[in-house]
Amino acid sequence: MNEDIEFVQKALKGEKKAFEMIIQKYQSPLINYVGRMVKENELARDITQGVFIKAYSSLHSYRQEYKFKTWLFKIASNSIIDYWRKKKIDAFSIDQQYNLDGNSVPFQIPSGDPSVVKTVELQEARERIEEVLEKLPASLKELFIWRHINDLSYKEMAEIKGIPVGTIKNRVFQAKEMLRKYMEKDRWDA
Amino acid sequence: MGCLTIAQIYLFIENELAVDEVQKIQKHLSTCAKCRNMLEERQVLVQAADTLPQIELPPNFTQQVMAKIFPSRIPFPVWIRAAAGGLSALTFAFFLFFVLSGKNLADLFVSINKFLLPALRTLSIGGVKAFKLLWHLINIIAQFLDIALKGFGKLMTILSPEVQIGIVTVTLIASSLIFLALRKKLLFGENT
Repeated sequence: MNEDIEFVQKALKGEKKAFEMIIQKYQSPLINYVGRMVKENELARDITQGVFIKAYSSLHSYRQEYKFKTWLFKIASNSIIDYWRKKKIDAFSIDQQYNLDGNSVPFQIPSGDPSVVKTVELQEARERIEEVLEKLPASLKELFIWRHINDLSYKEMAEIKGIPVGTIKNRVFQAKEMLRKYMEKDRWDA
Repeated sequence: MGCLTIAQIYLFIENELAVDEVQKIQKHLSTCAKCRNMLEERQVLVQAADTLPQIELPPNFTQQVMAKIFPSRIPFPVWIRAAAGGLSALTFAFFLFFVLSGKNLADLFVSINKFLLPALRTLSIGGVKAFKLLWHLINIIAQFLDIALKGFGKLMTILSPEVQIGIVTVTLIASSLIFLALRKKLLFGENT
């Protein structure tokens, strides 16, 4: 049996230790996701804590045909949207497409622009990704974080969002291309 | 095969393609410098993205979440639990006795009533005596404190102001320490 399912079943029988194991396993992936989405450490900790509380209180409604990890990330994603709605910050939609000016455009194949990322060192690239990640639309940022920081598969991401795998892949590629262009733009602006 | 699409490049980097597709792309890359260049710059981006630093959590985070989910209750002291248990057991035993013996419960209440009045009288006499005793005790303590204060006052007239300040400071510190120690000793139950 899957380790997560085993923990869930034990937690449902009242074994506190089993839910503690779930928290220990997922607290780091969740804080890395939530923290990068809201950019405030204390707020990220509060939201992550809330995710576990919600998960525990609705554990009986979790269905085993879905992965526990995707169920937990769905709760986290909804918690962030709820927070933004309460704060009257625009909640995001996955169906939008963006370009650097914020207008909706189809995802295009770029020409052979002068390489920027290739020339910078890896460490510098990391720092610049963190900087320009803020400029990405929230829906694309979320997918980028899931893919590269949380190491979720495209299938898992599609399961969380409830949209086809192909659409998810395109959005992730779009996020990376936007990041690359922002990095390039910042470099020339500097 | 024509030049690669962005999707093909990323899927190639992430090993998400079928073997025959990979072979076709490798063949194309060996002849197309433009696609090789596009691939290389995206490889750095993906590599950097995959190794972004992790956000750290405070070491007691798990315990904090667990405390929110399972708030622990301060347990009653053992003697209260034992007394409550004893009382419940006694009540139940009485009830059971009367049900099994078929006796009328009203008789019990009458006999309790008969017993209660003298018992109350005895208790109130005892209470008055205890109060008198306590009053005497308070008087003795008050006289002792009076003597101690007079003695302290006389001592202060002999001692220099520096020594007086020293004595007051030491007394204050000692009182605070005793108070803290007592407070710690008197607290019971879990702290969350």
